[in-house]
Parts: sequence; C-alpha cells; structure tokens
Amino acid sequence: MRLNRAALFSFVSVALILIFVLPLGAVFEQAFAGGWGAFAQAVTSPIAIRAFELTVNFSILTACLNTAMGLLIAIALERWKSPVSFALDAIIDLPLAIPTAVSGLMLVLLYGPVSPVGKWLSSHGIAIIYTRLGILVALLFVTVPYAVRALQPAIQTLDRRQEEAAWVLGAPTHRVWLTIILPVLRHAVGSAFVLTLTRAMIEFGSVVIVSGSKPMHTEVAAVYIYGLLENYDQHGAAAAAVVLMLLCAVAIGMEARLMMLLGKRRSTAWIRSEGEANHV
Amino acid sequence: MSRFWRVSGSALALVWLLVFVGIPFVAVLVGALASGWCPFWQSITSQEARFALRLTGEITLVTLFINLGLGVPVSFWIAKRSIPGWRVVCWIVELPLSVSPVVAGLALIIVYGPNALLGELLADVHVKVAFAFPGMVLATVFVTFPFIVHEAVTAIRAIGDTQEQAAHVLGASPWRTLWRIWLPQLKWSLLYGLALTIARSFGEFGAVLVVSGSIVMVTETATLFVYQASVNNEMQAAYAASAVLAIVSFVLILVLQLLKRLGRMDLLGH
Repeated sequence: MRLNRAALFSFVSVALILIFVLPLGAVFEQAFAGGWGAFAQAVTSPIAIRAFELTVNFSILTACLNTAMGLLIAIALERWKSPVSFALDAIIDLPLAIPTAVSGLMLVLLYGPVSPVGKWLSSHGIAIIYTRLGILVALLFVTVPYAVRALQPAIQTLDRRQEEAAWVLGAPTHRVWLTIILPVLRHAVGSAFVLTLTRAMIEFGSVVIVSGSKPMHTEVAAVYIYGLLENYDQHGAAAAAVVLMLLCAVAIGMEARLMMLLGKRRSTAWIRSEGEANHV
Repeated sequence: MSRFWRVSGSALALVWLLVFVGIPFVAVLVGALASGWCPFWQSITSQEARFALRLTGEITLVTLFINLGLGVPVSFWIAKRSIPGWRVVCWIVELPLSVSPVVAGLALIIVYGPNALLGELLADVHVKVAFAFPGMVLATVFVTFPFIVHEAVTAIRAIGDTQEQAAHVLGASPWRTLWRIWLPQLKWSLLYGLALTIARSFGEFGAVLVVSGSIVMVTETATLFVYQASVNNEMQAAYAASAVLAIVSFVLILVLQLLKRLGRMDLLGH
C-alpha cells in the first residue's frame, strides 16, 4: 500500500518533469548556450527591443481599459440586475472558449477593409486591421472574461451591511462607492489587473492574424518569437522567450508587491472565509 | 441620480462587450454563410477540412484522458498538503498559465525536436514526437493541464477529509475510498474542468502550430487549417471552419453554464 502510493507519486512527478520542467529548463539552457554575450546580443537587436516595448505598452493599456470595464461589467452583472445582464453573462465567456485564431479572424472579418464596418471606419480615417489599433482590439477581446471573472466573486461576497449602514446614514451614491465598496474590492481589482496584463503579454493566436506582424511596427513579442522560429533561429527564439517569461514573472511579482502596498487582507480574509462557508 | 448611473453603466458595459465580442461573433457566422449554404457545406466537407476536424477531435480525446489520469493524483497531492513537495507541484501547475503558447511549443521542440537530447533517444525506438501526433498532444496537455487541477483542488479542500477518515476507519481500501467517497462528490467539478479542457484543446493554436509544423493532411488541426486558409487567402474556407469552431465553443459555453448550475444545485441538495 505504502509502496503503491510512492510508485504513483513518483510516476506523476516524472510525467510533470517530462512535460513541464524539462522543456522550460531547456529554453533557458538554449538561451544561454552561447554565453551571456550572445544572449544579450539576441535580445537587444532593435526589432527585439521594439517588440518587447510594444508588448509591454499594449498589455498595460489593455489591462487598464479592461480592468475598468471589467469592474463595470461585473457590477452590472451582480448589482444592477436587468434584462441585459442575462445577455452579458452569455457573451462574457465567449472569448475563453473561442479559439484565439478564430477570434483574430472574426475581427478581420468585421473590421477588415472589405467589410461594411471596415469601409465606414476607413472613410473616417480609422484603420483597425494590420495596425496597432488592431492589436489593442484583439487583446481587449481576448482578456475581457479574465477581468470580469476575477472581479465577480469579490462583488458577490461583499458585506452588504456596511453599505446599508452608509445609505441609512445618508451618504450620497458616489461616496458609498468610493469610500465603502471600492476600497474593499481593491485586492480583487489588483489581481484582475495582473491577470489581464499577463494574459495580454502572452497572447499569440489572435494578434498574429490581426496585426499582420510588420517588424518594428506591429510585431509583438510572441509573434516575434514565432518569426524567429520560422527562420530556424532556435537560440534567438529561446533568448526572446526567456525575456518574455521574465516580463511575466515581473508582473506576477508586482502583484505580490501591490497586495502588500494595498495593506493587510483584513477585509478580504473575512470575505473569503465567508465565501468558503457559503461554498460548503 | 442613481437610476441614471445604473442605466448608463449597464448600457456602456453592454456596448463594450458587443463591440469587442458579440458583433464579431455574429459577423463570422454571417460571413461564413454570405454566399449561401452550398459553398459553406463544400468547404467544411473538403478532404483537408474533414481531416483537420478529425485530428482536432483525436487530440482533444487523448488530452482529456491524460489530463484526467494525471490531474486527479496531482490535485490530491496539492489539496492534501500532507505529501512533501506539494508547493513545488502547485507552482509547476500554475506555470503554463503565464507562459506564452509559442514559448510552450518552443520548449517542447527544444527537448523533443529531431536534434535534441530526448528527441534522438526516442527516434532510436522509432517514436517521433515533434512534428507528429505525440508532440501535438504534449503541447495541448502543457496548455490545458491547469484547468482540471484548479477545479479539483478547490473542491477537495472544500469537501474536507472527514468522510475519507470514516471510510478508512471502517477498513475501506484507498481505491474503494476514491470510487465511493471522492469521485461521486468531485464529479461536477471534474466535469466542469473537463469541459474547460475540451474548450481549450479544441482551440489551442500557438503551441500546436510551433510543435506540429502544420503539415497539410498530416499534422494540420482545425485551428491551423483556419490559419493556413486565411494566410493563403482562401477566405471562404477560413470563415466556414471558423464558424464551425465558433458554434462548437458556444455549445461548450452553454454546457459549462449548465454544469455550474447543476453543481451548485447538487451542493445545496446535500
């Protein structure tokens, strides 16, 4: 019995090592195979720097926009029950399930130069597909559900009593939202932000189709890595992959730091225990 | 005043979702059927498209079994916190969520590629991993593994181990405890995790693109078919295949919602 268990867990560990640890370790090995100099050279070429710059800028922009809109959507879903919220709920999960390549194609079909919408937009001087705006639209599409679903449980488990007390004491609406509700939600907002940020940084399928991947102009990091691979430059791709992973690690590390800055999880800890009690 | 905010807020949320999600979804269905049913039907029943859809189905099926077989022990390992190393395992499982699919594909190619260490060893026993079916399954497992584990770990921790202890005291074997105590209680979370896995492995693109090399009629899955068709400017085929995939994902979403409801009802019934 004890032996059985040991055998099972060693089998599982070997499988995990073969699937996850070894390949990711190999990326690092490959990136530094030519020494630090070669690594630095590979990731500081103008095209690479531009690609990382685009990735970071667009991810931060996406994360800001979608965290704000995600908060609004989550509130609309949980608090302002309306006939619309049913439709909202059905639409939100779509980007999670739709293949990213298909979502890219959807955007090309709708906003591309041959569609009526695209024609109308281009007659007003706006081009979305194969431009940087297209990257932003694709990232917004893909990350909407992460922001909303990260915020929803926090809004569900809010303590209504504090709000009611504020109402009864005659606080105006904006004051209740700004001083009672949002401060309690700050941790959820922080994690929604970081989740959207990392998701936007690693997104590939939709961006590769929408952006047209012109180097220096619309090529983000993931697409850049794919381009290097297509040119059989495995070392360069591995080096760029290491930088992309480090950027994600920085974002996640930032989350921990952010949580510390936002103060102790006094209120959320209470909410969480309440939430777990509800779950059971 | 409050009513004004409520209505305008809801309207803004709806517009945002429609512009970025809803309308593109409808547009692809309309676009696929723009020139009638006949061309639509022809392009999704072409030999290449049929092969691609079947390959996607096979990969999804194999991935499901691997994720389930590996995911259940891993979730117990993490949830119980009693076996050493659970923190490391938890960390490993979280990893794929912050690794770009392209990087995942690259990582697998580096280890299992034709000139790589393990790739050469496997080639000696005539197993081809990169640019072949096993590699594509590995890539899909890499990307979809966290889903089942996430769902199962939360459920196991919520259920607790009182029933397991009772079973143990009454002399039940571990297998019997698993079948009679754990699986019946975990079934909704596992099904939810499975449905999420299906949705993701159906739609996996980046990792599979890198690992498979996207060879027509050999390693071309449905999403790769969509990509190739759009690169080759065969828009009718691309839109038709996209519409099929979009409808499948919509059905999966409905299943997910249903599973969530059923699971909640089951919890309340206890």
